[in-house]
Amino acid sequence: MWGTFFATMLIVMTIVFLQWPKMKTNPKKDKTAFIVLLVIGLLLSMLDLQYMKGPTSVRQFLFKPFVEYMQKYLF
Amino acid sequence: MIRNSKKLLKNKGPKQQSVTDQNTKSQETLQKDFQQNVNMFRSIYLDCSDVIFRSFRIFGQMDAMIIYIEGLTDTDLLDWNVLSPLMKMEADEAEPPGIDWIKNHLSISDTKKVNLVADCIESISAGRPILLLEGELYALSFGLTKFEKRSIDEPEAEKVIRGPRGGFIESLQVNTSLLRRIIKSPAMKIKTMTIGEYSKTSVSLIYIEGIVSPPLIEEMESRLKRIKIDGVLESEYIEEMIEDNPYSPFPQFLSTERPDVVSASLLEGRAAILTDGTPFALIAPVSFFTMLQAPDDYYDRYIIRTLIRWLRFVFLFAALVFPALYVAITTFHQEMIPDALLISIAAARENVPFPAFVEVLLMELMLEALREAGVRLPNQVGSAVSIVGALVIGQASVQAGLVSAPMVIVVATTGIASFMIPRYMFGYSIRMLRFPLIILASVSGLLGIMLGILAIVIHLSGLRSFGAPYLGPLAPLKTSDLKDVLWRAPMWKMDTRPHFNKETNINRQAPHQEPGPERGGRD
Amino acid sequence: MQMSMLLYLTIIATGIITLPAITAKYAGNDLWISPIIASLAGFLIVFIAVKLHNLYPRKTVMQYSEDIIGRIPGKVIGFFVLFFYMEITGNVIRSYSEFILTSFLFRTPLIFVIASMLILCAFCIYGRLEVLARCAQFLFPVFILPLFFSIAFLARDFQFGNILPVLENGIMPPLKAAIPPSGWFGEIFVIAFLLPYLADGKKGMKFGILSVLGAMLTLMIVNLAALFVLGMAISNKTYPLMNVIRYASLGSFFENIEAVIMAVWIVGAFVKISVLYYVLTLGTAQWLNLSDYRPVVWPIGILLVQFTYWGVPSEMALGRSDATDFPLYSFFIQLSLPLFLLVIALMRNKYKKKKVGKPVQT
Repeated sequence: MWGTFFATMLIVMTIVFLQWPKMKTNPKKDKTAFIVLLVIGLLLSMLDLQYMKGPTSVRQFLFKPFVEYMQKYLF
Repeated sequence: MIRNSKKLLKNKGPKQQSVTDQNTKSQETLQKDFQQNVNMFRSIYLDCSDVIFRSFRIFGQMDAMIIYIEGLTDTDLLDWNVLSPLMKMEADEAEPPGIDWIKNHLSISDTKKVNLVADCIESISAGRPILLLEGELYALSFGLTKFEKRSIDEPEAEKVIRGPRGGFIESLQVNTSLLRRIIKSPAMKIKTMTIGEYSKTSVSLIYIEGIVSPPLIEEMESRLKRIKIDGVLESEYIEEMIEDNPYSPFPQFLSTERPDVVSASLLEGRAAILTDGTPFALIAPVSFFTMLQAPDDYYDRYIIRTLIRWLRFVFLFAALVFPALYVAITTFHQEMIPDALLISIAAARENVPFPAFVEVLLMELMLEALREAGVRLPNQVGSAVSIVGALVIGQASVQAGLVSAPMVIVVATTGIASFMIPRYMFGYSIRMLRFPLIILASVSGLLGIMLGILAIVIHLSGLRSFGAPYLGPLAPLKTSDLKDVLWRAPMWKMDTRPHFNKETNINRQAPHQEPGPERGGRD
Repeated sequence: MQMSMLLYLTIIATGIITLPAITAKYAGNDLWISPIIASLAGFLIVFIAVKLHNLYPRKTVMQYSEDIIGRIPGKVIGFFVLFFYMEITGNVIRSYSEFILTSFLFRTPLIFVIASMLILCAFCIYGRLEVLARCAQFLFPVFILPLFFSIAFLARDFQFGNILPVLENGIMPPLKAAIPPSGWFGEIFVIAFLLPYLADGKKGMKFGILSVLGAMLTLMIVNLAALFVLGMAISNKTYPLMNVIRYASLGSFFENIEAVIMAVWIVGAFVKISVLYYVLTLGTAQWLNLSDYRPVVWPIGILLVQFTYWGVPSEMALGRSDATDFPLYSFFIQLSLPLFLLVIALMRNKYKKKKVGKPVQT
């Protein structure tokens, strides 16, 4: 599991290394967004995503009544 | 002036940059004092044994000096038309002898008055002798350039079966004259500039006014002007300094030795850059498909040439992916090979100790080595090397069981395919890209090849040659331009020029010119 | 024209592989009718997107949703849309990789397939929209020609009788079966992100409709081909097109041309993922009011890799969700939300017109 984290860390570092010099002239907002998104990526890499309840489960939960409704009436 | 020449002398130390450069910067003019001028030129051309200073007297009273570079100037003409009349002249009392009087009494068609020291130096370097006169602020520069050059030959690398045989040579003047002999309209403009701090190479930008788009010419001129380099020895120096994407493996100029190719491109609304000292002209903007058009395509029947063009497309693809496909299929996707073929391939590969990847890489590298060796060696030895390479290595390595026979076939096919690409430089790019594809294929089979091809397509999609998309006219699609890409339309159908710039003058010829027996002489 | 090809590939790319099976499950041998019905959703969405764009020219959904319902609610809607695209892009990448792994490269690690594709897409969109559009245009024939040629080679295996009886159980089964493909047609909503960058804005409607039409015809042909060859066995297969192509043979020499399908699939997936990825990064940049979308391309790439894994233990789970709640979700985000925005925008416009007495300048 830590392997994933370190691999992501490595990729994140590569991205920063390659992208940062190109963003020198960009406004501060761009840089902040860039960093924040990378940090989110890093944080997510610490979790065991594949077997965690994810957005797919959330939407399955949300749409469950509709799906049931649809299946009852249509199928 | 003495101060200046002293400075020049002082500057001759190790940290000194360039004599001529300083003169170019300071807009120094000639002085009234003849001796001063002479001293200055002597100090500039110190230790230049090829520069000849010839001093003499006009009318036996006026000091004069001719400066020229040995071997660049026609000394016979100089002796007969400058020295001898000036030395034999008698003073005319009615008119005081002056520069204009001398100019009018010399039988030389190209005579220029120059005032700046920098211009004098440029003139001398170009082989035009300079005449300095006592008490004059101006010097005379004579167009008596003459140097050794080779005769006009057929270009070795771009032969045609039918079509003009003449190729460019190393002299810019001859090259522009070759173009002018093809396109006689004064609309063909030749703008010449000097590039290279030391080499002072003349570089000409050539285009046809009214066809080319003006912003393109402005852009090219400004890019040429921004080059700061010590010397230009070949057009490649210029190409690399002004291309759009310096990191691309693909050439963004068409380089050609043929005046007819340059003229055709000019007529299509492209611009050409000719460099003194090399027979190769650069043409821009170009696209991927320009590189696949051979001059023969237009000198032969269009139906046949369309077929040959298609053959070229197919073999271009083969040159790129054939070895990679072999690796991918034999290592990852054996089930795709038809059974009969699979058996023969398996039988051939049975004794080969290497995996297909190593085998392919080995043979492809060998092929590239043979090609490179063949280029360097003189013609007679070159063919011997090819025979040794092809016969001995190919045959022997198969017999020794080092590589399999199908492998040799694959490599040979790729070799032939890559030589079908009419533009040699473009063929290089394709041949080079073959290797990453082989590696990708060995890592992940067909997926790798597809990813590699996609990467190439992405790169090509983003590439531009002087603003014209490299994949045009296919992407972005210009249906009317496909007539010279997917097929070669007959001449009477080529009504419009390619649209790589909006400002280009589109109409090439009168429409509806399809010939036929009932057409007769009517319009 | 470029946009048409882009959108066409976006809809069709992943659809042709799995959709025949899903539709066959519900519609039986009437599966070829479903794409026609499903495309109605596509036309509707194109219509809404173009209308909205006409009201707010040169703006994308992210921008005009704030204009229509105010800053905060606009941001909320924007967030949902972004999250939706994040998720479906993840799903698309996942199903692309699963297909490659199960059909061709059995021993390759999943992450390699995912990452290699995402890196390519990132490079592509890093070069701005024109590169993406040109890629799509160049690859369009690469996608379409092999597909149709291989179907043409199948012709001698066709059993046209499989189509009968037409509409045996009435219109309901194909109608039901139209729901999953309509989720795919919903993806035409990416047009709302591309319209502002179209050189000729007025042709947006034409191009949108053209691409939906093209996608509908292709799906229909693929469905029919699968039906003619496989008959009612389609619904048992995960990748019917793949099985169909296995039947194809060129002469008697090239017997396994499914590699062609793989090439087609990779090309299609590449364009589709790139488009979605582009929409996602552009949307994010506009949502955060960034000056350029390019700085966020790579960070979002990492997030996308994570979303391909998140909560998706296997291909089976993905397939199930594709058939049931994906269409609803897709409808909710890509049809109801824009419709809602359009209604409010129209109402506001009317209200303002009455109040000020002249057209509103936005």
